[in-house]
Amino acid sequence: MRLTEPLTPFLLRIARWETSHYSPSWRLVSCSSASAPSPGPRCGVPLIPSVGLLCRQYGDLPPLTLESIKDRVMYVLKLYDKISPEKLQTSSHFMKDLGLDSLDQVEIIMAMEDEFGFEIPDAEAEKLMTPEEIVQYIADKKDVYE
Amino acid sequence: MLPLVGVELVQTPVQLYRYLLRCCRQLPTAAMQQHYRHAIRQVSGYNSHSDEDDPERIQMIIQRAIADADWILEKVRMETF
Repeated sequence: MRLTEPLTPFLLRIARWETSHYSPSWRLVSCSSASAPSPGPRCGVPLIPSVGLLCRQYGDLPPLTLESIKDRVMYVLKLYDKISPEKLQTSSHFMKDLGLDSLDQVEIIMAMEDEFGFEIPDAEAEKLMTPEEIVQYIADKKDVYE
Repeated sequence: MLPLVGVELVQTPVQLYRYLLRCCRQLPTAAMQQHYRHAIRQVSGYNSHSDEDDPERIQMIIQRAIADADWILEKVRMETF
C-alpha cells in the first residue's frame, strides 16, 4: 500500500473484509436460536450495537434445558456413593425407594447447590425428595420451560 | 467470625446438619472441608449421639455444635490472616 493513498478507503476495505471473512463473537440473539441460516442480513454483522439486541456470550454456559438439568441431576446422584446407580430412577423417593436417611437427603441437596451454583432455602430443600422434584425446582428457579 | 445467617432458625438435628455443612463451605481448603464434613457425620457427631432421646439434651448438643463450629471458623480465620 502506498503511503500517499488516503487512509479512509483503506479502513473501509478492512471493514468490508472483516464483515465477509471474520466471524466475530458478536451475534444477534434472535439469530442464534434459529438453527438454519435464513436469508437476509448476516447474523455475524453487528447492525445496531444496543444492549439486548446484541450480546456477547463470553464464558456463559449453554442455556439450560429440562433435559440438561435432568442429566446433570442424575449424574450427581450416580456419583453419590450411597446410591446404587441401577436402582436410581427419576421417580425414586430418596428415603422410601433408595433407603437413604434425612441427613443423606441434606447432603444431596447441598451437592445440587454446588452443581448448579445457587443456594436452596432450607424450607424448600426439605421438600425435595425425588430427582424429578429437584429438576422441576431448578427449572422453576432458572426460568426454564419446555 | 459471626455465626452464619439463619443460625437462630436451627431447631432440629437435620437443620443443624444443613447449617454445619454450610459452615464447612467457609473453610479455606478442600482437605479441611472434607475432614470436618466427615467429622460431623461420623466421628464426633451424629453417629455417636444417635441414641439420644431427651429433647433437652438434644437442644444442648445443637447449641454446643453451633458454638464449636463458630470456634473452628474463628480459629481458621486467625491462622489465615
